[in-house]
Amino acid sequence: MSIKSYLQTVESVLENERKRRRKLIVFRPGARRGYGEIEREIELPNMGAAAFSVALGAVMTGMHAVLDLREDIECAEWLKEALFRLPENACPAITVLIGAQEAAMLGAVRDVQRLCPKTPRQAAGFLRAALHCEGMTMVVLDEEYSDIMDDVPDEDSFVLLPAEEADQEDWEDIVEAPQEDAEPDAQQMYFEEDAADMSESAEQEAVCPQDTETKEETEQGENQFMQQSENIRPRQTGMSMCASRMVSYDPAKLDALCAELNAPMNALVEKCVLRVYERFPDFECRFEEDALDGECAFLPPEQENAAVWIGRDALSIVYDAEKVSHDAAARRLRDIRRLLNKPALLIYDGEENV
Amino acid sequence: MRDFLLKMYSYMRRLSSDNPLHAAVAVALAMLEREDRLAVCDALICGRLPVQQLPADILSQDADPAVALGAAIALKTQAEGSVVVAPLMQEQTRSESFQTLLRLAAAMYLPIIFLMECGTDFPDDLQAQAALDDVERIHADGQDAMRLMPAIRLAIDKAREGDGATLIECVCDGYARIKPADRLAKVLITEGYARPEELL
Repeated sequence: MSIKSYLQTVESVLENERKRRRKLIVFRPGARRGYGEIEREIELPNMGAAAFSVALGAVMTGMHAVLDLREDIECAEWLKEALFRLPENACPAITVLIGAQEAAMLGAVRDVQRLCPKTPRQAAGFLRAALHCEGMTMVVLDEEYSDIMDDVPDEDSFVLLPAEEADQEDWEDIVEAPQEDAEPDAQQMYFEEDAADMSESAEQEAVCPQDTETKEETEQGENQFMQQSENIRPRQTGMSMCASRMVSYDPAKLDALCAELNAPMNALVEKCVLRVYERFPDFECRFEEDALDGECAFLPPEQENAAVWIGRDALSIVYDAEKVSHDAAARRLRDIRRLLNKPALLIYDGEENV
Repeated sequence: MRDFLLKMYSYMRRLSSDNPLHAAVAVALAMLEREDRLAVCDALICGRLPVQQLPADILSQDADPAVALGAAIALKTQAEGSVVVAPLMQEQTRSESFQTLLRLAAAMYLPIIFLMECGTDFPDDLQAQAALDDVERIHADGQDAMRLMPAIRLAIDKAREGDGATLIECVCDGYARIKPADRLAKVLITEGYARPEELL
């Protein structure tokens, strides 16, 4: 970990990733020094929309291109045109670095995921995530945060893995979490309340056509979950003493409820998370709306003791193993998973406005 | 040699003869290796593509020279010795953005070959001439495959050795008189490389 500014973090991440990965290339249009080439960091002259085509050409040979447009203050107009000319299903592996003003002028673009880090740590995490993404991403770098200094991990703090790879147990340097629960009373209270809620809403559940599981099936599923979470051993991340767990969930009922209510997915997920967050306010949560099937990320917590990442069909938690036991982490994952598997519980619990 | 000429002839027959550069593209395709790329429309085609898999309309739209340049930059950073071939019509080469790309290709010694369709009076303005002075130019008859072969071979070998970009000016005046494929067929038959029934 080292103290870095917002902009230093961006340059550091780009340089480290470029050295680690031969398939990463950085283009910087609008360079003042003329043409330059430093180990897959290419400085280009001002060429407008042609810069995007150059990045596209590199992507077509199998590389991941970074298009750094921070020096081009007129990029919004030509970038919008270039993006709209792309075929509908085209998702080139391009990461665009753009200033906040230019991003505001550009507006929202179909199929382009936009990341807006506000701190150096967020910039490091978001930029690394974008560089591992197979589609097109845009990282908006606001000069307003350029003076912020922060402790930033020097190494990779998270890994993007498909769900099946995350289940492997061949990890070295595994950190074993402490056996005692960090907050036994709060957890016990939560489960009692949850049991009461489940019994009260049993009648309503019977009305809902989506939740047709019997009690036995629910208990069987829970037992399987506990076995699964016990079999997934904590894994050390780049941050010292951090461990992680990951579990999959079935988004089918969430999708169905969103369609039935004509509600956006992120609103429903947020409700599910808030339900758990009310009991445990000491963890962060991120919902990755544009995650792919099987995609999972392990983003470290920034300020709290644990951070949960929710993808399309997978959840992960990264937690400080000195402050949060792995049982507590597993329970939180289980609680969120339960609500994501049965989002109708929210509706029949009195929160009708989703 | 016979196989090479027959492959070249097959490519020439496969491509649409509406584009005056189809002969040059066919010659280039016959010479490219699997790791090389041909820039067409907004895509890149790998070399050694079987004739049956080659879309006949790849020359129906102009190639994007910027995409070709990006591919050349990427291939050069991988140090694979691969080259990129980009066919361009004369109108495309008159723009200022193309001149910028050309200067960039020359400055970075990119492994890219531009097949440029032109008349005998090309270039017709000093600005374009200045840009062209930055890169090596080879003049060739765009309708004669046997004369295109040494020019494209030289350019490809030069690019593989890291000596930079080449601009092959394919003169296509008097295009409509004899089709390049028919001219090549005549050579193949005369030199004994193929029988007439093989070329149908």
